[in-house]
Amino acid sequence: MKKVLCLLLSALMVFGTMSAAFADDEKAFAPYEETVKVSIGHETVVSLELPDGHDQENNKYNDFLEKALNIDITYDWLVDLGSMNEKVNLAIASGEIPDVMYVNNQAQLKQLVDNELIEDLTDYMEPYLSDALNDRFARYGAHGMDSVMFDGRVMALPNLNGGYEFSFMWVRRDWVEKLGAEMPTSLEEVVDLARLFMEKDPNGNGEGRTIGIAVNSHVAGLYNNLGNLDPIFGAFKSFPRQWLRAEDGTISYGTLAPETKEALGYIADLYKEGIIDQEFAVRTGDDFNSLLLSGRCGIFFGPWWMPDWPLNSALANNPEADWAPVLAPLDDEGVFNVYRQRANNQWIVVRKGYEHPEIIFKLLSYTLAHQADDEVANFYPDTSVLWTIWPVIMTYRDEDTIPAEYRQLQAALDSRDPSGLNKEQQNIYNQCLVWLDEKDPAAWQVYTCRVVGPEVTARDGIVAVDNVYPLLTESMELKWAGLEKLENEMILKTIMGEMSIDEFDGFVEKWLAQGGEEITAEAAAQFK
Amino acid sequence: MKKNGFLKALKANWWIVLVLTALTLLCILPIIHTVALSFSDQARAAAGEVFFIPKGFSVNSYAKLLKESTFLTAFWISIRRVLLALLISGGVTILAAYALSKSPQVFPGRDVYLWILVFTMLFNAGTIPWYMAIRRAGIMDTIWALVLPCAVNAYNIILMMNFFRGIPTALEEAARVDGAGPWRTLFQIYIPLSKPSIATIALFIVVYHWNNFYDGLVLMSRPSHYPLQTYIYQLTVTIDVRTITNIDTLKELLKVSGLTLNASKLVVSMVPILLVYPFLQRYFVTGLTLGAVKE
Repeated sequence: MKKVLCLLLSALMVFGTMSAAFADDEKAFAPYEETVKVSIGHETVVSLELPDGHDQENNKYNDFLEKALNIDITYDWLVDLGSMNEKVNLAIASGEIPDVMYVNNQAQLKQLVDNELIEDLTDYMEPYLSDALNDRFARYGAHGMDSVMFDGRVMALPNLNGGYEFSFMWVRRDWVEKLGAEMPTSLEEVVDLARLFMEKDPNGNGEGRTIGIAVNSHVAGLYNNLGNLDPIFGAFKSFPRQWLRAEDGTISYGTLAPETKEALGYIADLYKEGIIDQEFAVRTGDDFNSLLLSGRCGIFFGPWWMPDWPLNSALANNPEADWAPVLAPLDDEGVFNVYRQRANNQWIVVRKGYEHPEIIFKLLSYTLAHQADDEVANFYPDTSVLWTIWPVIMTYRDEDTIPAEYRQLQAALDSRDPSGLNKEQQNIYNQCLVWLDEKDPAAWQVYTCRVVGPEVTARDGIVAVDNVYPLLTESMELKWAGLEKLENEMILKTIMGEMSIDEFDGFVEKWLAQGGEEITAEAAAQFK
Repeated sequence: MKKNGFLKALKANWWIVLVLTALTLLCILPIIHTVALSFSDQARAAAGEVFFIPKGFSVNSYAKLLKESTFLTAFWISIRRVLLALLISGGVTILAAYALSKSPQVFPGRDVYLWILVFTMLFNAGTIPWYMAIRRAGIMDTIWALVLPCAVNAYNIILMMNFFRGIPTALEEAARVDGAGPWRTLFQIYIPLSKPSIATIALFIVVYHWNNFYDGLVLMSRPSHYPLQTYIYQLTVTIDVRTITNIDTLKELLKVSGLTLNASKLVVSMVPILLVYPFLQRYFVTGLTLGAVKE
């Protein structure tokens, strides 16, 4: 613990001195004297709808930036999220990358560094990182920039993902009320409620057709996602697929813990009883969502944004469907256990040899400073333009942005005074009023997603385990795929009863022997 | 009487009929499902209620489709691609097959050329050299990248060559006696006699170019240059949730995704091939086998 504290303090000190040096912000926003050309490799959305003659390459946003910074933006490529990996891989393999490129995958970032294809940004950080951005990183603390540090050098600019996007329980409150039951808190109560739903068939879709708890094939350990069982594992203080740091600083892999064995045994019993969806191992995407939307299931686990998707069409199918979040199941001590989200999952890199690496700082700083301007908001008043239209932009959230924004919004709603809110939030505020005052179903989604869901994340009694995200190590590159397969098989087979829980210890040994031990040691070395 | 014969045949071969029916259903049910989805209400489709009959009949998705300029652009690119490929790939195939159909006495070195051609059928360098070659050729992100790299198809050339070799040499000799050069012989004797196999090759080319999505994905640099199938691939590919970086991205995907809209796009993309098939199909079977047996 002491070591961690030291690390944190020293990191804060570094940032502290850095921000002192950043006193003048001008460099980050100053236009170039002579027009600078930059080519960008960027992700986009296939069907982006802009007025005729405007597209991702030629639009008012680009013109705005080009004029403000005296630059000339071209796109080397613009591809959909689904083909980003492919495109970046080919760029790496051919050694020809755009001046500025997005990377969505840590392995690729490492390859770019290893092959010396990208520019070292360390020396540009101090003069060109805007105060606003610097504050963001400083607030995030030590792990905000972990993923871009290679031998002490900053090799890319990361996003900041924020936190509080863990899963909790979502339940059909109308079913609970119909059956005269109570909202659950403990694990036992959650399971009892699922049992009740199955027996009483509150949706009237036929005996035995109601599924207790909907789960998809990922089962656990995929942050910011729906259909997992993370909260049930959490009730056992188990965190599968996470790297955990104990108080003495040792690193261990969460799947191997005895708590995971206990949790898996419990879940296997639930599966055997029929409470867990019997087809969970093949449930993905649309198939999973259809369980929730068709009224075949009344309980699942997911983060705060469920009302935006997939529950957004729940009311269209059934006006009675009243999905509500519950902070459950709690553990024996009444605590809701979660793990922290990875700080970075997207990076911007600059081609080695490009004359103006500082351009990404300028583009990003300028965009972040002006994206909420009235002028910008009115560029295309009739179309909803997606934010990826900006040539260089990433998510920057504080770790607690989700609960913090909720608190702001709730305070405004309580006092009916939206003056303290920013433009986007005022918009949300207005729609929330429509729901509160008129119960217009069209406004249900916004209110539930911005107030009801995030409210859960702002509660007391949520405890995050100290999980860490090690960088890709050498053995990981070689052996992780095999270990992951072993782990997936064990989890699925154990739950489905094909593997007895007694075989868990055998799995642990096998996992360690097949490279897990090496990887753990390498991961631990990163946090010394 | 005739009906009885049919029943008899059915009885005797019931298991063949069963297998064939099952296979037919296997092919046609997904198509019916897609058509049903495309005419369904969005919310009911999302709830998984739609199987083979549209639920909450609606043509909304088609109305939306017509307004989507990216889709229409992609459609047009695919049409142009197919036409260009027919012209270039078809021309190259006929010319190469004609030359290779000559005996080594007439065409010294024919066997060397043929072996080089066959070699490309058996071995290839892989994706990255392929990608780099196209990049260096400077045709990345243009329609030529979709047409030129696959203009020479060894399989088509050999098929065509075998067909040409099946045409009696006496015809060629007669033409030569009458004063026709190789070009005239090709255009006035060989091509008119080879309509079935040309139709077959044309069908191969059309189907290949219409359906191929991968080269569009890798070689095109922006969605406005995607051919239709690449565009559709992007919409229907199951996005691995792990690649979604944040809620903002997810929401963007939601705006563009939608079971019913995607289904209507799939249906529309099937139409051109469905239209071409009946016209070429009568040549199809004869075309494939005609070249197979030589005198």
